[in-house]
Amino acid sequence: MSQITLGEDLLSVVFATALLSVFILTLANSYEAHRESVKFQEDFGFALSVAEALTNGATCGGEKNEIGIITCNDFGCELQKFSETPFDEGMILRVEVKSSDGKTLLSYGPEPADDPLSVELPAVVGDEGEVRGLGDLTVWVWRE
Amino acid sequence: MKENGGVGQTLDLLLFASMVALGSSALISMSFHDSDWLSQRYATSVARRALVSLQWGTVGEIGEFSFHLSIETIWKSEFVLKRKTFVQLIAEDAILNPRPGPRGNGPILSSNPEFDGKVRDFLKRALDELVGGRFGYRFVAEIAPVERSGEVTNFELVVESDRGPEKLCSESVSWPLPPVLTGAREWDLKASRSRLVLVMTLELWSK
Repeated sequence: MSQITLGEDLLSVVFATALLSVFILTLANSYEAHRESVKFQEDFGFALSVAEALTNGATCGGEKNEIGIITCNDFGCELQKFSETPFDEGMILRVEVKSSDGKTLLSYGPEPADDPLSVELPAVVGDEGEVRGLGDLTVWVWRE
Repeated sequence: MKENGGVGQTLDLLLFASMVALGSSALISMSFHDSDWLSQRYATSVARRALVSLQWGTVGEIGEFSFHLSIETIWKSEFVLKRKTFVQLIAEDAILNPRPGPRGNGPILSSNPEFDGKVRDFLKRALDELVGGRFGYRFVAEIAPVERSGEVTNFELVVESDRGPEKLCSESVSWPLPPVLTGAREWDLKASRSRLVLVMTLELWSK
């Protein structure tokens, strides 16, 4: 009798331990997924903030431009401010403005090696008070 | 005694495991909630910039916009537009092609139905290019009901694409129209300015 009881107890403990291990692994995986998701959201949020700032009307030239218009003069100046902003070390930024026919009008930062996270917004490109045309603003963000 | 001890231990472990499971599901649901917020923020940014692009972008960037006058003239009857902005096209369509009835649901009072149809096609092309690749959309341009010559007229232009189930954002911009001749054939500047405002709303949906 006592041998049978001992066997049942052992089986219960082994079963419970296995179940617990599965749950702990699930927790570890979901924590990892959550961490990745938070990192992605931070990077995406940062890229979106840069894109929004550039299309909100640059302020470097003294006069505020119309909302949505990117000017060639202020483009580099505005991005310089972002480069000086303290953010995670090792984060690299690339910004590009393309016309509706695919021609690159403005660019800043190194070419991305692989296919990093990017944010794309419609934009209007202007120069000295004149609208030059519609375009797409793309901001890439990646880490070293 | 031994039997009870084993069952108790197992129950403790099961309770602990269920708490671990609850923690995992809370973490996962929190991640999804945050990404929803981020996609709404992104959609709002895209909608605002698309409305700005309609305000500044010229017709020539999408293609050639040509239309015929609906009246006989001694001059050429086909006109090609390149430098007008999309908003100017909508405003001209609103002035040329009003609809009767307080909700704009009557038959079109077109002075140029060809122009109206082409503006809609052109806007569809522009919006497909601006936002259509990423989102489903519904664009509405409307003017609040105006009484002219004792009749209420309205204008509503709707351009939309295939949409998914989730509405991500709705952004509007108002555009005052130039004063128009009132029923008394006098320039009622004050009344016109206060009434004729073109409101453009762009809703973005999931695809």
